[in-house]
Amino acid sequence: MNSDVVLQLALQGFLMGGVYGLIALGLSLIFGVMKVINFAHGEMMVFAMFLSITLLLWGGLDPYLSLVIVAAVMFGVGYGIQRVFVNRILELPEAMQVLVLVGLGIIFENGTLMIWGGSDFSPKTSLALSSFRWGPVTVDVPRLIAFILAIVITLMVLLFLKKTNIGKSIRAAADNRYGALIIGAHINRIYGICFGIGAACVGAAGALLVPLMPAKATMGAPYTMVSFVIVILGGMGSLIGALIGGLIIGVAESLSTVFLPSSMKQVVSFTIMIVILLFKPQGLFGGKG
Amino acid sequence: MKRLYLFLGVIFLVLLALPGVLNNYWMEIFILIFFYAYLGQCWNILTGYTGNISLGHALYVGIGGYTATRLAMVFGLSPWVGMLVGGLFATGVGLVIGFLGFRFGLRGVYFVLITISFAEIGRLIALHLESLGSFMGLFIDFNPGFLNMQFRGNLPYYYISLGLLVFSLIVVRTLELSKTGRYLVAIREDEEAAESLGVNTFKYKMVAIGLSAFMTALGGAFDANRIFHLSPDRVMSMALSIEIILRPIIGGMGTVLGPVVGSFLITLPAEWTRAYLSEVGRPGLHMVIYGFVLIFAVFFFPRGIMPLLNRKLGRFFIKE
Amino acid sequence: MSLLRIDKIAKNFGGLRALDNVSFELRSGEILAVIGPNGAGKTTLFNILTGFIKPDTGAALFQNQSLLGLKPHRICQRGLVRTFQIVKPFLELSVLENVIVAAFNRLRNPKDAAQKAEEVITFVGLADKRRALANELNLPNRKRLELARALATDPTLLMLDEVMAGINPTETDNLIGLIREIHRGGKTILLIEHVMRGVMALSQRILVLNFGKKIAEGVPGEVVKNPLVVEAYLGEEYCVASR
Repeated sequence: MNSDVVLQLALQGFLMGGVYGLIALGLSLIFGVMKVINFAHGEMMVFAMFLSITLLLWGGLDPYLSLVIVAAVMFGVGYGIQRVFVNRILELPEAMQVLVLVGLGIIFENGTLMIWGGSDFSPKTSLALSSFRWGPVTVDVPRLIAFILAIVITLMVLLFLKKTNIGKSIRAAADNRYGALIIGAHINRIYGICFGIGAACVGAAGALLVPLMPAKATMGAPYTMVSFVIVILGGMGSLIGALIGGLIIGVAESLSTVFLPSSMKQVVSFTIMIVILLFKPQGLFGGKG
Repeated sequence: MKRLYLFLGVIFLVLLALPGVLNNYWMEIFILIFFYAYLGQCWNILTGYTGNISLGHALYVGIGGYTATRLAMVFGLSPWVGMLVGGLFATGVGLVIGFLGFRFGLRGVYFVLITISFAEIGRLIALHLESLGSFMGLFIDFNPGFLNMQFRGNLPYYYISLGLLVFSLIVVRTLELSKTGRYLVAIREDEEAAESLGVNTFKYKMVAIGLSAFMTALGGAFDANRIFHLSPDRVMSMALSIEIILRPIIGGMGTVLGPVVGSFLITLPAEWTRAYLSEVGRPGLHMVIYGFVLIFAVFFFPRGIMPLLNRKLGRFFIKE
Repeated sequence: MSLLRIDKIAKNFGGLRALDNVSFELRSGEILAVIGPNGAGKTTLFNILTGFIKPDTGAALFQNQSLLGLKPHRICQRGLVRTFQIVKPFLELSVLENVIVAAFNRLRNPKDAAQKAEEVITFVGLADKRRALANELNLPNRKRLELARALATDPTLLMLDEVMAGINPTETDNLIGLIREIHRGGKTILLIEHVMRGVMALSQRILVLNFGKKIAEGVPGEVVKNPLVVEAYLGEEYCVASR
C-alpha cells in the first residue's frame, strides 16, 4: 500500500472533516440544548447549498462570500422553524418529535426538489479546480479553504457561546431547562436562537461544499446521518467534541476507501457509532453519560 | 366489548366482499393500506408496547424479502417456507440488536440511533453484495402459482395482505391480554418499577423485538413476490422505516387498532395527492404536503387518533 | 427463623461512605423499622437488598440464600418486594391493570392474576377506583396502589420505603391499620420511615442508621431513649416523644 496514497486520503478526509465538524456543531447545539434529534439537518444543509448556488448564478457571488448571506438566511429559517414547529413538540413523547422533524426533513428535501429540480448542479466557481503540491500530497484549494473557514466559523461560534450573554444563557438552558426557566430566561427566544445558530452552521457548511461537489436535492440524508455519528462520537452537547469528532470521522471515512468501495464508507461511520454507543455513550468529550 | 367485535366483524366482511366492486387501481390501494398497517402493527409490538423506538425496521423487511427470494432462486424453495426462514433470520438479527441495546442500557435517542445504524449497515451491505444484485437488486421471475406465492392480478394479494393484517391484529390482541403483553406495557410505563415487581425486563424486551422482527420479515417476503423486484433502496431504506412508523404513531401507538386506523387515514390521502399533484405540479410537491400533514397530525393528535376515538366512541363500543 | 441476614454491608459512592459495615438480622414475622436522619443510607440499603445496586463488601442472605448478584426481578420472585419512596405507578394503566402486572409474579393465568388483583385492591381500599387511571389518583391513593402492587406479588418480606411520607395524619392512621393487617396475615415487614407515629405504632424492633453506620438496635422503648439516637435526631419531633 502506497503510503503517499494513504497520506493523501488522510489529508482529504481531514480537510473534509473540518466541514463535517461544522455541520455536527449545529446538530450538537440543537441536540445539546433542546434534546431534539434534528432529522432535517442534512436536508437543511442541501437547501442552503442551493441558496448559495442561486446567489452564484444570479449575482455572481462566490460561495465563500455568499456564505455570510446564506448563514444569515438559514439563521432566520432556523429561528422560525424552532418557534413555529419545534417549540410545540418539546414536551411530547420522543416518537412524536421524531415524526415532526422527519416531516421537516421531507419538506426541506422536497422543497428543494420543487424549486430547483432533481438534477445535479455543478456551477463553476472561481477556485474549483486549483490545487498545489505540498510535499508528497496534493492539496485541493477549495477543500483547504473550506476547512479553514469551517474551523474559523466553529471557533467563532464557540467564542460566541462562551463570552456573550446570549451564549451563556444557551449553555445554561442546555444544562438545565427548568433551572433556566426559573431564573427568568426567555427560554423560547434562547431555543430559537440556538436552532438558528445550528441552522446557520449547516448553512455555512453548505456554502463551503458548493465548490467541492455537485449539489443534488436528495443528497441530504447521508449528511444527517454522519452528523449524528459525529455528535455521538464527540459527545452529546460537547461542541469541541463535534469539531474533533468531525475530523476523526472525516479521516476515517476517507481512509476506509482503501479497503472498501467508496459508497460503503458510511459502514465505517455507523460501526464507530455503534461501538461508541455501547462502550462510551457519552462520547469522547461528553459529560454525564 | 361485544359491540366493538361486532362492528369489526362487519368491517371485515365488507373488506372481504370489497374486491367485487373495486377496480385494479383501488385494490392496489387497499393492498397498500393492509400491508403498511401490517408492518406498522409489527413495529407496534416493539415500540408501542415497550416504548423502545426503532427507526430501522426496514432492515427486517429486507431480510425477509431477500432471504425468501434467494432461497427460491437458488434452491427452488417455496416462498411460503422461505418466508419463515427469513423470519427466523430477522429474529436473529433483531435479537442481536436488542441484546446490544438492552444489555448496554441504551434508551430513547441512543436506542433509535443503534437501530438506524444497523439498518443502514444492512442496506449498504446489500447494496454491494453481488448475490443480492447490488444496487440493481433482484428481479424475480414471474411464475404464477400458489407455491411460488405469485399470482396473476391483484385479488390474491388483496386477500393475503388482509390475512396478514388480521393475523397481526389477533397476535397483538392476544398479547395484550396475556401475561407477556401486560409485562411489556409495564416495561413501557416504568421499567424500574416493573423490574422490582418481578418482571424480567431484559427477557421480555427481547421477546418483543424478536417477535416484531419475525413478523415484519414475513411482510417482506410477501412484498417481494408482489412487486417482483427487490432493491436495497426500496426495501431496506430509511424511507421505508419512516413509512412503517407513520401509521401506528398517527393512529396511536400501543393500541391494537392504531396502526389500522392510521393506515386508512394516511394511505388514501397520500395516494390522492401523489396521483393528482405528480401530474400537475412539480415533482416533490406532494411530498411537501405529506410532510406538512405529518407535522399537523402530530400537533393535533399528539397521542394519535385512537385516544380521541376511545373518548368519543368508547362509551358506545366498550361498555364496562 | 432468620429470614433476612445482613452481614457487614458496605457501600461507597465516590468518596462518600453510604453504608459502613451494617449488620442485622430480621426474623420471620417481625416488623423492623429502619430509621435515621436523611442521608443515613437507608434507601441505599434497600437498593442493595433489592438488587438495584451492588455493595462493595458484605453479605445479604434471604431465607439462607444470597441476594447479592441477583437481578431485581429474581429477588422479587424469591419473595422480597419493595415499594419506592417516590411512588412509581404505571401511569397510563388503570389501578386494576397496575396490580395485575404484579400479580403475575406468582400466577401465570390472566384470569387468576385478575382475581388476585381484585382481592388485593379491595384489601387496600381502592376497590371503587379499580378502573381509574393511575395518573388520576391523588398521593394517598397512589401510595395504596404502590402497596397493593407489592402485596400482589405475594411476598414473604415486604420492604416499605417511607410509605407514610407526605400524607396527613388520618391517612397515616389508615395506612398504619393496613400495615398491621398485612402483618397479621403473616408477612414480615421491613420499613424505612421518618414518620415516628408510624414507627412507634408498628415496629417490634428498630434499627437506627446515621452516616451509614448502625448506631442503635432494639425495642422501640429503649431506642428512643438512647442518647446516641437522640443526638442524631436533635431537633426533631422525637425528642419530645422520648420525654
